[in-house]
Amino acid sequence: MTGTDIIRKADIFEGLVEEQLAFLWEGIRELGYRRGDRFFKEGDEARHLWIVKEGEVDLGFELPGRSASEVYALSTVSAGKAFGWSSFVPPYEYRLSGYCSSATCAVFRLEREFLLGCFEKDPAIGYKVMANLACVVGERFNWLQGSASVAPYAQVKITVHLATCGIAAGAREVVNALVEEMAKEDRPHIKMQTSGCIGRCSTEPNVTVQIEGEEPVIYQKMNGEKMRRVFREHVLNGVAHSDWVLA
Amino acid sequence: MVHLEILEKVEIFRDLDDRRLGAVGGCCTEAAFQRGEEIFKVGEEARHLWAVAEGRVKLVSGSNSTLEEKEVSEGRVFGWPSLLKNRTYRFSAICAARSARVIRIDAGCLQALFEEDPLLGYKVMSGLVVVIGDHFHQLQEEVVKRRGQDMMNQW
Repeated sequence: MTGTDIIRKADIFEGLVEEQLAFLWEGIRELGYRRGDRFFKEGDEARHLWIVKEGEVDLGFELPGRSASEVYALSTVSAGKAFGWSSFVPPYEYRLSGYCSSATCAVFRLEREFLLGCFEKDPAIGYKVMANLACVVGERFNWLQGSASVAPYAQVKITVHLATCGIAAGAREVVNALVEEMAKEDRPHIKMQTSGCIGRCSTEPNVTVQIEGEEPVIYQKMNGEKMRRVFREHVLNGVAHSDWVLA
Repeated sequence: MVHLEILEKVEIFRDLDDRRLGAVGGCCTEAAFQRGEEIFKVGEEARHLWAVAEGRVKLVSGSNSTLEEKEVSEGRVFGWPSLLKNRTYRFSAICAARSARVIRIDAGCLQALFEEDPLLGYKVMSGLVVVIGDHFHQLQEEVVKRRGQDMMNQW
């Protein structure tokens, strides 16, 4: 697979033709990180736009008195998505810190100055990329607006269905991941419990998330990594992971 | 058609030359509202981008939360979902002054201009990224403040 084949899938490069992608590829630098590594810190000058090639990136704020890796994640960015768009918004300063939150992360990094140079030479690239970037920022806005409406102290009950079929399918790994995430957050309003099979053995391990005032959501075919994401994105930020919800 | 003197004060059109401003003006009409009148409603299909020519407009979300309320003053644009893929207004827009004059910009007409003249599209969409980014940063500041306070209260 060529470099342009890879970046073609990036949200901000949607609609660009081969020649335009090749032009941009010249300025791309691929970098590798491990879990907890920081790409940038809030307050840093935003000189780069980033794209996740593999893995996941957490964007969040750092907590006073805690270690630098204990970022409070506001959002998670997955493969093919861009982050660091503050590089195109005055005062060109990152407003959150960015960390690798999966075991490893591969990212593409582009200098803002390089991109601006490309846009000057070929405004058609500039138009497409800025139109895509507007969509990216707009989607993040919508997501943040939705998560901001969630009451932070709503009571949450997370049930891992731990019958024999669930255990055979890997439910213990799910429990372990959940215990670790809960220990990190230390939120007394979030409770975990275990229960039996829900009668859908083929979809185990199942997890039910019940947030006060909302309908329960049952997740299917969970594993440790999915549990961590559900915890961060649904339990903490109020956005259910619809792809994994039991139909 | 809206006069160039009015259009050139709109934040996302400030860098445009007269020829391009004139082209954009062909996509615009003016409308007047009185205090409390609704310009559009949250959840409606977003077919227009709007700019405040005179007065003030309040953006109100449907969630009864004051977190997302925002006032838009002269020269500022609102209704930006009209130029995105998901064309649904996320706020209701209400006239917040005794009277307000607003510019209604046909989003489809504007995008057709961008296809013909990518430099125009580049300039305007760059401005729009800044508008949405500013709006996002304000919301984010509020969320961070709230979440930070919530966490501090738990320690």
